Amino acid sequence: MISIKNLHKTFNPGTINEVYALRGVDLEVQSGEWITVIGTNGSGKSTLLNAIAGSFQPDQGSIQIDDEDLTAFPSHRRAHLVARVFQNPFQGTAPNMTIAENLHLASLRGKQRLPLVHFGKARIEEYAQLIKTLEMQLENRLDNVIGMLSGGQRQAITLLMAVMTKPKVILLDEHTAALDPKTAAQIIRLTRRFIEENHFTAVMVTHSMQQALELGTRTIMMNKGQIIDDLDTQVKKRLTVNDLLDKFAELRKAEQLTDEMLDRLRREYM
Amino acid sequence: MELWLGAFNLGLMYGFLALGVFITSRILDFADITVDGTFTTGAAVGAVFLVQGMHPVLAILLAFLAGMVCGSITGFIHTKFKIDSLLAGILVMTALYSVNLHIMGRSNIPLMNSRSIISLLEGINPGLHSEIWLMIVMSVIMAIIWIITALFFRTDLGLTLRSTGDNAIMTEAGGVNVNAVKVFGVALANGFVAIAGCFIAQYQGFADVGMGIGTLVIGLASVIMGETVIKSRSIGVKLLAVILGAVIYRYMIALALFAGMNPIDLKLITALFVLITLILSHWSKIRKTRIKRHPVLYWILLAAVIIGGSSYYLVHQNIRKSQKNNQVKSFKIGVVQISQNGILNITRDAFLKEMKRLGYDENTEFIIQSADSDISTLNTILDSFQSADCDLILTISTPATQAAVNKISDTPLVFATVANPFVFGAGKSETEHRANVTGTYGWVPMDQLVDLSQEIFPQKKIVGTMGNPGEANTNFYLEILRNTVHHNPELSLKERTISAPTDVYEASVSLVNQGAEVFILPVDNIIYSSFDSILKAAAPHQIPIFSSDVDRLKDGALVSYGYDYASSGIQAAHLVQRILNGEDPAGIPFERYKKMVFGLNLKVAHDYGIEIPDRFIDRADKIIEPNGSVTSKTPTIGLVEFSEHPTSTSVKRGVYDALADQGFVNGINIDITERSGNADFQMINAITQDFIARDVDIIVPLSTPCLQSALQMTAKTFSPDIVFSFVSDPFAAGAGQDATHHISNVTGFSCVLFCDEVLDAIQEFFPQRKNIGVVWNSSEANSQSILKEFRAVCKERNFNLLEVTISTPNEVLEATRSVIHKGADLIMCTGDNTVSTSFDSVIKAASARKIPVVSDNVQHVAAGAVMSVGTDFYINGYDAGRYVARVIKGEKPADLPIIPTKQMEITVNSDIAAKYGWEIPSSLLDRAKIVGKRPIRKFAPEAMAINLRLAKEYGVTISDKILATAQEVIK
Repeated sequence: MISIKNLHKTFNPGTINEVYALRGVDLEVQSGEWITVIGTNGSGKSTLLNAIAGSFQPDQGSIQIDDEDLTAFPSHRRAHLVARVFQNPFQGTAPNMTIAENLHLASLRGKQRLPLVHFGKARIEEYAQLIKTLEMQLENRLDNVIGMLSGGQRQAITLLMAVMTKPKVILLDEHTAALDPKTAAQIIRLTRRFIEENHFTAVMVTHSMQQALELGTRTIMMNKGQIIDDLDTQVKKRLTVNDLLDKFAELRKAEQLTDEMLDRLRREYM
Repeated sequence: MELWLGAFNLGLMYGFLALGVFITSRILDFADITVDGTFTTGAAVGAVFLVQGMHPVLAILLAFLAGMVCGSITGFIHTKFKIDSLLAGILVMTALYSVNLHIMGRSNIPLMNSRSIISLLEGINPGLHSEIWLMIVMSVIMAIIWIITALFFRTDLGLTLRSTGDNAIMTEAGGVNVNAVKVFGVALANGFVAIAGCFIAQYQGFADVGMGIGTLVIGLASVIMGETVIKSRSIGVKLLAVILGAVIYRYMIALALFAGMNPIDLKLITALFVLITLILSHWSKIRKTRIKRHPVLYWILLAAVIIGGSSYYLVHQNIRKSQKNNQVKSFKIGVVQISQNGILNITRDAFLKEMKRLGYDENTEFIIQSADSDISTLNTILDSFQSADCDLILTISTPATQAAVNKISDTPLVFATVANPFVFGAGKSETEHRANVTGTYGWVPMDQLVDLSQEIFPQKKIVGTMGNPGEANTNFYLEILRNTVHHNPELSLKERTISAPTDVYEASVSLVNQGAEVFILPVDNIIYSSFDSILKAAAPHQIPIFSSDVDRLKDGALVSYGYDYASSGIQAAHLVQRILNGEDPAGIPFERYKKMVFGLNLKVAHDYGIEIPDRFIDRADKIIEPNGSVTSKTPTIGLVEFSEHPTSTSVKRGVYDALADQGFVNGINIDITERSGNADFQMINAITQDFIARDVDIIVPLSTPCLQSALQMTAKTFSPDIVFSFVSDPFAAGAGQDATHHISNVTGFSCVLFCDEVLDAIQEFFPQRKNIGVVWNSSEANSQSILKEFRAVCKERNFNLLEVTISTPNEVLEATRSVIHKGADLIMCTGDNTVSTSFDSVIKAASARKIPVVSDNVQHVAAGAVMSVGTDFYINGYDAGRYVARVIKGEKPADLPIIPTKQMEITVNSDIAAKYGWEIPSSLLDRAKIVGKRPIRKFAPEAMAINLRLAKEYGVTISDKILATAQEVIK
C-alpha cells in the first residue's frame, strides 16, 4: 500500500537551524498492516509521518500510496487517500462548529465542496449512529459546539472523523501523548477496534514502548533519520519493553564511540 | 419622522456591509481593510453603468462582481505571498483609490437624473410615503439576502469556508485547498460590500470617490453591536444579528445628531459605544452567571435610550409647537456644510453675520451642522433638518447641495459656495431650475485668466497647472483650462496631479523643468494650503503665477482673479431673506457671485522685471505696490476689543451702525475683521501685530489697553491709521497732548467723567448728602487729571470733596473706611483703575455704613453701586465709526480732534435703592435706565388738573410744589 524509497529531507538547509531529518528511509507497507514507529527524540518519526501526509516535499526519494506516485502532491491532494490524527487534541476538530458539522466535513474528505446543501436531517441521523460507536454518550450532543468538549472527547471524534471515510492510509502521530492515562487507554481501545475491524493500513508513532509492542502487526525503530530495526509480529510477541530499552541503550553506547575512540581502543586492546 | 425612517433604510443598506465584514472578520478571522476601497468601487462601477442607462439590478450585479475582483486580489496577495492580511488589505485599498478615480473618470458622478434602484422602486410605489415604501422593499430584500446567505453557510462549500476560518490545518488535512477557499471568502465579502456602496450611491444621488473612507469602522461597529445584542451559536441568527447591528448603528448616529451632537464627535461616539459594548461582553464572560442576562440588559438599555430619545423628541416637538404659536413669526434655518474647511467656514460666518444684521436674530433659530467629510452623515443631517421642520435649509459646498437637492423637494433650499450647480442637476439654467432650490454660485472664469495672461505676456505660451482630481470643482476648472488652451493652437498646457500638500513642490518643480512659462492655478483646497511650495519652485525662474485665490496675491502671486467667499454668504443671506418674506424659490433665479476681485502684485512684477500696462493697473481692485503696501478699493478695518462683554458689544454696534449709515456694509464694500483679546495683553499684541502684517487700512482699538498696544506698534511707522473708542483718557494712554495736538495717525472719541451731570444726579437722588468721598491712585495719570477737574467743579457747587489716595488695590478697603470716617456720606468712583480692580472692597466698606456708591462706570451698578453716570457707550462707538468713515473717505487722523463723546447715560440699581430705602426721584426715573429685579412703583401723575377756585372756596391750600407739577390750573 505504501512504498517509500530512499527518502531524504533536510530542513532549513544552510542556516543555523539546519536539521538533516530523514537520511535515506526505505519502507514498504502492505495493505492491512499496522505499523508502530518508535525512536529517540529527533529520530525522524514525526517527519516520516509528515512526509507520507505530504506536509513537505522531500529532497530526494519517492512516496507511493496504492501504486500512485504522490511525491509531488501537496497534502490536500493526498487527503482522499490519507487521514491523520494529530498529537494535539485541539488540532483535529473545528472548535466553533458543532459535532455534527465536523462529522459532515469529515465525510467530505477529498471530495468537491459544492454550494449544495447535503447537511440535512437524514445525514444527521447517520452521524448520530456513528457517534454512538464511540460509546461516550455524545449522541444527544450533536448540536454542541466542539469547543465545549474535553481533549479526550475531541481526540475520539478526530479519530472517528479519520476512519469515517475508510481511507487507504491512517496516520496516527502520538495521538494519546497529550491525554491522561485513563483517557489515553480509552482512545487506544477505540483505535484498536477501528483499525482491526476495518483492516486499515495504519502507521502509528508512539512514545510508549508498551503500546508499540502490544499494538500493530509490525514495529519499526528509528534513530537519527534512519530505520534501524524492523520487527515483525512474531518478534514483537517475544520482546519485552526492557528488551527494547536495552536496544536503545546499546545504541547510545555505540553513539558515544566515535571513530577516534575506536582507534584508541583498538590500539590499546588489540 | 424622516430621521428615523432614513436611519432604518440606511441601516438596511449598510447591512450588506455588515455581512461582508462579518465574513472576513468573524468567519475567516481576517482583518480586511480592503472594504474602504471596495465600497467606493461598488458605487463607482454602478454609477458609471447607471449613467449609461443600464438596468439598476444589472448595475448592482456588476458592482458585486467588481467587489469580488477586489477581494480576490487581496486574498491572493495574502495567500500566495504570505503577506499579512492587514497589510494586503491596505495595499489593495490604497491602489483602489486610483482605480476608482479611473473608473469614474472624475471624483463625483451625480445620479439624480439617471435611473436607479430608487427610481425603479418609486415607479411601483402604490402611493405610500417614499421612505416608508423604501423601508418595506428593503426589508423584503434584506430578508431574502439573509435567508440565502444563511442557507449558503449550510452548504458543503459554506461549511468548508467556516471550517477554513476555524481550523485551517484540519480543513487542509481534509483535502481542501485552504488558500483558494480564503481567496473566495474574501472575494465574497468584498462583493457584498460593493453592493452596499452601490445602494448607498443610488440612495444619496451620487457616487463620490471619498465615500468609502471609514467603511471598515462602520462595518466592525455593526458586527460588534449586533453580536452583543443577539448572542447565538447559530450562524443564521448571527447573520441576522449583524444586519440589525448595522441598523442600530445608524440609529445611534441619528440619535446623536438629533441630540445636537457635533458630527465631528461622531467617530468618538462610535468608538465609545463599541468600547462599552465590548466591555459589557467581556464582563459577561468573566462573570459566567451573567452570560444569559447581559444581552437582555443591553436590549433594555438600548430600548430605554430609543424610547427616551423619542419621547424627548415628542415632548420637545410639542413645546416647540406651542412656543411657535405664542411667538411672533419665528424661523428655523438649517445650515449644513460638507466639512470644516476654511473657505466654507468663511461663507457660513458671513451668512450668519449678515442674517443677524438683517434682523434675523432672536426670532430665528439656526441649526448649524458639518458632515465631517462623511456623506452618509450628510444625509442623516438633512433628515434631521426635515424632522425638525426647518423653514429653509442653507447648503454650503457642492456635496452638501447635491445631497440636499436629491433628497428634499418640499423645503426651500438655498446653496452657497457651489462652483457649478448645473452639472449635478439643480437646474438647467439660472431661471429654469428645481422649484424649491435657489442660491449663489460662481466658477472662476479660468478662460479669462488665460486671456489675461496672454494680454500681459503674449510671448509666454506654455502654461503650467496642477490640481487634485479628488475634488469635483478642481476637475471642472481644469477642464475649462484645457478647453481654453485647446482652442488656442499657440498655447500648450502642462498639467500635474496632486493629492496631498507634500506633492505640491515636486509637481511645481517638474512643471518648471518641462518649460512652463506661466502658472495658472485653479481653486483647489490643496493649492490653498500649499501655495508657498509652488512659489518656491517658480520664483527662482521668475515664472509668474496667476491664482484664482485672492489671498495668494500677498503671498507672491503676480495676478489674482477670484471671488470673495464671504460675499457668497452675504448674497445667500439676501436670497434667504426674500424667501422668508414669502417669495417662491422657483421664481428666484440663481445668482452668480457679484464680487470678483482682480488683484495685481506690482512688487512681484518689479522683482521679475515685468512691465504691467497701465490699463490693468486701473482695472485692478487690489494692488500690492512695489514698496509692499497695499491699496485696495475695499478698505480693510481691524477691530480689536479688550474682551467680550455687553458694554464692548454696545460700542461695536455703534461702530458698525455708523459705518452702515455712511454706506459701508461689511463684506460688500468694506472688510471688517473683529477680534477679541480675551483680557490677555499678549493676545491683544498678537492681534494688533496680525492686523499690521495683513496691512489693514485702519485699526480700531476698543479700550485703553488695545489703544496702547496699537500706539506702541505703530510708533515708528505711524501707519496704519488708528481710530479708537471706549477709552477714558487717551492722552494718558499716549495718544498725545490734547485734542488738537496728538500723534498724527491717531484719533478717536474718549469717554470722560461728566462732573456737572454727576453732581446734578447726586443732588436729585440724595439732596442731603454733600460730603463726597473719593479714593484714588495718585500715580494714575487719568485719575490725576479727572480729580483735578472734579475738585474744581465740587468747589464751585459747594460739595465737600474728601480724598484719600492709595497706591495698591489692597489699600482700597481701609481707604474707603477712612474717608467715611472723615465724614463722607457718599462715595464716588471716578474711573480710577486701581479702585475699579478692587471695587468689591469699596462696596463692602460703604454698605456696612449704608453709604451709597456712585460710579462713572455702568458695570459697577451691577456690582453694587446704586447709580452710574457715564458715557453712552453706543454713542461713543457711533462717534468713532463716523471718524472711521471720514478717514476712509480721505481725511487724515491728524486733522480730526480727539474729543469726548457728549452723550451720557444714567443707570440706577433699583434693588440696592430699595434695600437701603433710598427712594428714586421721579425726575431721575425719567432720565435713567433702571436695572434690578424688583419692580418700581412709579408714581408719575399723567395729567393733573387743579381747581384753585374751588380750593380757595373750601379753604384748602395747595403747595407750590404740587402746583408746579400740575398740567392744568384753573384759577
